[in-house]
Amino acid sequence: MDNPRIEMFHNAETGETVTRELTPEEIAALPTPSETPNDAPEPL
Amino acid sequence: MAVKTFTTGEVLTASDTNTYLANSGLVYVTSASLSGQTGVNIDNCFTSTFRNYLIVADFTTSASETVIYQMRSGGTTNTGSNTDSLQTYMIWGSTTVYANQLTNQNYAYFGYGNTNGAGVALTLFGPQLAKYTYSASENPMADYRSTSWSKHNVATQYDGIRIASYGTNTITGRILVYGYRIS
Repeated sequence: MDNPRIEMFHNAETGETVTRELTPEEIAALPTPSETPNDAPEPL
Repeated sequence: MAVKTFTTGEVLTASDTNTYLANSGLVYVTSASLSGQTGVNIDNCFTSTFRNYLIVADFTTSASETVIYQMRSGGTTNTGSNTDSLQTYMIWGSTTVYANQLTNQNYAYFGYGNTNGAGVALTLFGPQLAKYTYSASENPMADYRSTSWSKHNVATQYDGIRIASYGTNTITGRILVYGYRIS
């Protein structure tokens, strides 16, 4: 089972930082697993 | 006054000191310290104050992981298939150069990480300008060294960036954003 996607949201203008789990909409917008970012000869 | 040559015995005044501090080449914008998150979204870090930016990161990942970045605008991550990337990398102990590419994606290479640490220096060219944004990065880490270039094929003014694991491994480390002073 995948780990939850917990990310930081930092506003450089206000200095506010919030740490939370991504919403379903944000997760749906992530690159899909089929979009392999590399074909390295060793597992990365 | 960005540069002044002092002569022997001349007094360094508060005014001169403040001018030098204000006119340094790289200007700190913001930073984020991650401790076991899968990524960070930094908003309102790209403004009209600067044209080009340097993002410097040192981090570990909970297991070997590809770290990517995505541009953000108005608090929303880019989802358009508008980013192309090229990358070369070499494995320590070998002179063989490997290459990767990505076309028409919504993300670009940031670098690789693992439990033994990694560093990334990513230069972003004109992210806040209404034209294509380009980037170049260097990424030495425990297993590889990689160099990546990316172009965002849309004239969007971005004000933020998301830096995150491609998978679900977590990141611990610090990411700093600097602006290149333009005058």
